[in-house]
Amino acid sequence: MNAKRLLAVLAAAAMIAGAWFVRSRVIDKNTSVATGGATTQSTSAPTTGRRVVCVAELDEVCRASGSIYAIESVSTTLATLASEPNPDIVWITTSPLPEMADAARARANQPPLPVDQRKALGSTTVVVAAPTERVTVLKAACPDLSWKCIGEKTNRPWKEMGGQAGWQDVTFRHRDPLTSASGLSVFGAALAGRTGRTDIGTGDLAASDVRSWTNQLENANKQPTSDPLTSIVVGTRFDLVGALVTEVTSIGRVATLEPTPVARVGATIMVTSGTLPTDLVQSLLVALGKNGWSPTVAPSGLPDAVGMEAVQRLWQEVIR
Amino acid sequence: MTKLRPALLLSTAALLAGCVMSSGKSGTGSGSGSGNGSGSATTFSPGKCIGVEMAVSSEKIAVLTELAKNFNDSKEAKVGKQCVTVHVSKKSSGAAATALINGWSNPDTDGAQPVVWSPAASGWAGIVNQRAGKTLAPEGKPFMLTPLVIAMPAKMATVLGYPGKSLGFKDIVELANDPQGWAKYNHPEWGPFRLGKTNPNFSTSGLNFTVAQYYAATGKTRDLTTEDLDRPDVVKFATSVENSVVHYGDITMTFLNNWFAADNRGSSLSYASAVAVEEKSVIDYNLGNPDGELSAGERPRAPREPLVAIYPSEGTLYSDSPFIILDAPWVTAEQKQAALLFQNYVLTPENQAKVLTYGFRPGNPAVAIGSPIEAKNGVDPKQPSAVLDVPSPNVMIKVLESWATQRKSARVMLVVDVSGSMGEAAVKDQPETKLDLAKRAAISALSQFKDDDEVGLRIFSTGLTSDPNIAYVDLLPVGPIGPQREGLRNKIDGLSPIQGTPLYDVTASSFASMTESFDPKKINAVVLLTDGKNDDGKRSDDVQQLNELIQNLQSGSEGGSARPVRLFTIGYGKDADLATLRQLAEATRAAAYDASNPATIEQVFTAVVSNF
Repeated sequence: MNAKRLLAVLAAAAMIAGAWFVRSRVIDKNTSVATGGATTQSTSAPTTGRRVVCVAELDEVCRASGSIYAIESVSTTLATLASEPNPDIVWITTSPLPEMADAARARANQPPLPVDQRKALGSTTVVVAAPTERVTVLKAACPDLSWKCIGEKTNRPWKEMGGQAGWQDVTFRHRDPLTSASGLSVFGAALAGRTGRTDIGTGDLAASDVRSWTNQLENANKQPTSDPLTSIVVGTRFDLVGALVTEVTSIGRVATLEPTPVARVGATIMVTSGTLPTDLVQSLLVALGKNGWSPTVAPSGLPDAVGMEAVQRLWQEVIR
Repeated sequence: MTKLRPALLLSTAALLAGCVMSSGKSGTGSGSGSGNGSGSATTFSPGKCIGVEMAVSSEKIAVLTELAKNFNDSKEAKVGKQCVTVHVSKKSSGAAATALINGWSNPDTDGAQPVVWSPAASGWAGIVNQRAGKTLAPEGKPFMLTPLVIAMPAKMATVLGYPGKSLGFKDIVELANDPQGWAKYNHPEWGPFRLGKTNPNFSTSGLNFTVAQYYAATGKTRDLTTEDLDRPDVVKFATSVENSVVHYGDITMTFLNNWFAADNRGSSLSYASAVAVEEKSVIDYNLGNPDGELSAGERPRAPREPLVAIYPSEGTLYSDSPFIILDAPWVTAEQKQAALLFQNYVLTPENQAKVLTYGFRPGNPAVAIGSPIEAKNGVDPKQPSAVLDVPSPNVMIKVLESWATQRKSARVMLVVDVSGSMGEAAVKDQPETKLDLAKRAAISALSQFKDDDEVGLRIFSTGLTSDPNIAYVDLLPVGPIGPQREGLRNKIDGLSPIQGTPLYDVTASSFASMTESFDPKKINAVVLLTDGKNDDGKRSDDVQQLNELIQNLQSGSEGGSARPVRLFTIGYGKDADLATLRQLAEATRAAAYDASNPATIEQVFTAVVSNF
């Protein structure tokens, strides 16, 4: 066997071992290795067991960064960060999920994660998307575009607002706030809007008027349904869908409105040990810009970490 | 009066307590039921270290968890060259006592076998030893103290003369006996005087309060006798106090969470006028953390109406948190040695200062009392001025026996779900159904009612009769249980599963019937057991129905002139709609209980009936 052939065999063995390693470290039942990244050389190669994890809402961004990464549900990553004493994860996520991880770790008596190895990368807005003609009707019915008004119109006939009888009742859907960054942002923005504060806690959300309003707003989410954003894409019947504007801008026949107070969601990167991979940060910044995220405007209008935990708890209690 | 000697509470009270103290896994969050159940679900693995499992009463889980964590990381955590790891689990004093008496034989439901036990008060050790017939729980070292107080909204206490006037049980009796209630003090909107008090068979504060009220009735501070308890004036005094009770319960946290929730709605003054709790709880409440434990999403926020601690002028008792290194068969000499290290660590001045930050008075006298035990948090570090002696064991038994006859009577409608799903196996591949277990639990709980308690039985399901509009049937109307105890037992025994679950309909109608026949001299309550979600065949109006129901329950329970009917709910089996049940219970300032594991239903039923 000549030297070239030996080198090739060694390289092949290394690739197999690498693939096995990635598979064993990255995939779990709530995780999928991103299709764009699986065959791409990682810019933060997992040579030391470090995993790069992205929330689904940032899939395109992570893919464009060229990293090997996994898409994981928010609940899965939070559970890992709360239970592992020394996790080695790069989490590309939205705010305030890193702080929620901190709170969960503190409750689980795990050592704190480094807070200086995090970086805000950009922001986008929470919107309500709907067929154009329905947005027009809703805007007329709720001139202030407040979450409070939108909630009060939900679960009532469109006809009452001047819509068509065939549209039936107003329904509002979004993704699951326990597993999805988008769902958490939308539900959090709605409750921050309804209560008029971002420092909400379980006590604020226990108020009967807030419960009643939430029950009304979220009624459609109680029924099992296909993913609401997928419904928009394939054009099946839907009314109002809460999402990040970056998730819906490319969909035709759909108009969006920004409920007030306007909520901006931050994209952020955190590492649980070691330092931030600067090359990854740079490529993420570029990818975010290409995907419609604003690099300059700061997040605002969303509950903080404690508030988001209260929001998740309310979801479990009202929707379950 | 004696010098400070808080321990040795009960002793032979175990005869009563031991049989009823265990309760099941129960609700979460505000307004939910007891936290008596199994210990922490966390699996404790000490690795190569010596493991020290510690079972502690719920009020001190936060402080001991922090101390254990610090200890585990410290150089003190070593026996020779071997490291020590302490793990702390929450277990109510009564439930732990029962588990110990039974040999802590079921770690699946009781939690891991402890090396160290710290109940709320030392008296529980006496109970365990007496019941077990051997010294499983040797005398423990008290490491932090908190006195029993009467917590009152500052506004109400001020009306009674606080802080200038020394208040006590006599003031409570006077107010409780006055038909004008708070109107006597120009506050008719507060309604009658309402006292929150836990069941002395379950709760240390409930027991201490009962002892203290008997002392107050006699004017003594020591040497209470069984003869004292039979004196007509003492009986009258105690009965007057008990008659003002809102409802009982197994833990004070239920009251405090409900009170705080009512405060959020601006109606705390009409929920309760006073609650018997430990001083530490007043501090926690005023700091916006009513149960002393911050759960996910909970943000400490000061209440609108802060509480103040009334240290009864007649005297009070202490909870002393003993550090008991068990002499149980599963505890090794090595573990005892390791546990002793942790005890010494906890008693160091530095850590006693930490205990203080959680609102407990340090057990180490070298550490002075300071913040947060201060006036701005509603408490007085100079109090109590009088400390009561702990009665002898025979008097303690008599106290509990007397309480059983003098406690406020109850009017309870048991509402049992007999929908089709109740016919499913409780445990996979076992012949007994969920309904079988529920029937057994309900029948067993009947023995906790006294003869003049009134109890009725209602079943609900769709398809009960040929009329589709009938969602429930009263098998036995609410009436004195004495003459119908056997009949009730037979009716329960004869239940069988039928069809759907018209949860909202039956809740509304049961609440309405009990409100209509409200008896102000009794605790009026509905106990609702269900294993499902609302399913009345009309899903489209579920949201509206639930919102209206909650509003009705709330409006019926609030305000000075309300006729408060408490709705206690039991979510039974994994499909029960616990979230909705919690909302329904909280709307009436009662509690929701979680029996999602059907095997716990008997314990849960016992905990629910402790409210009466």
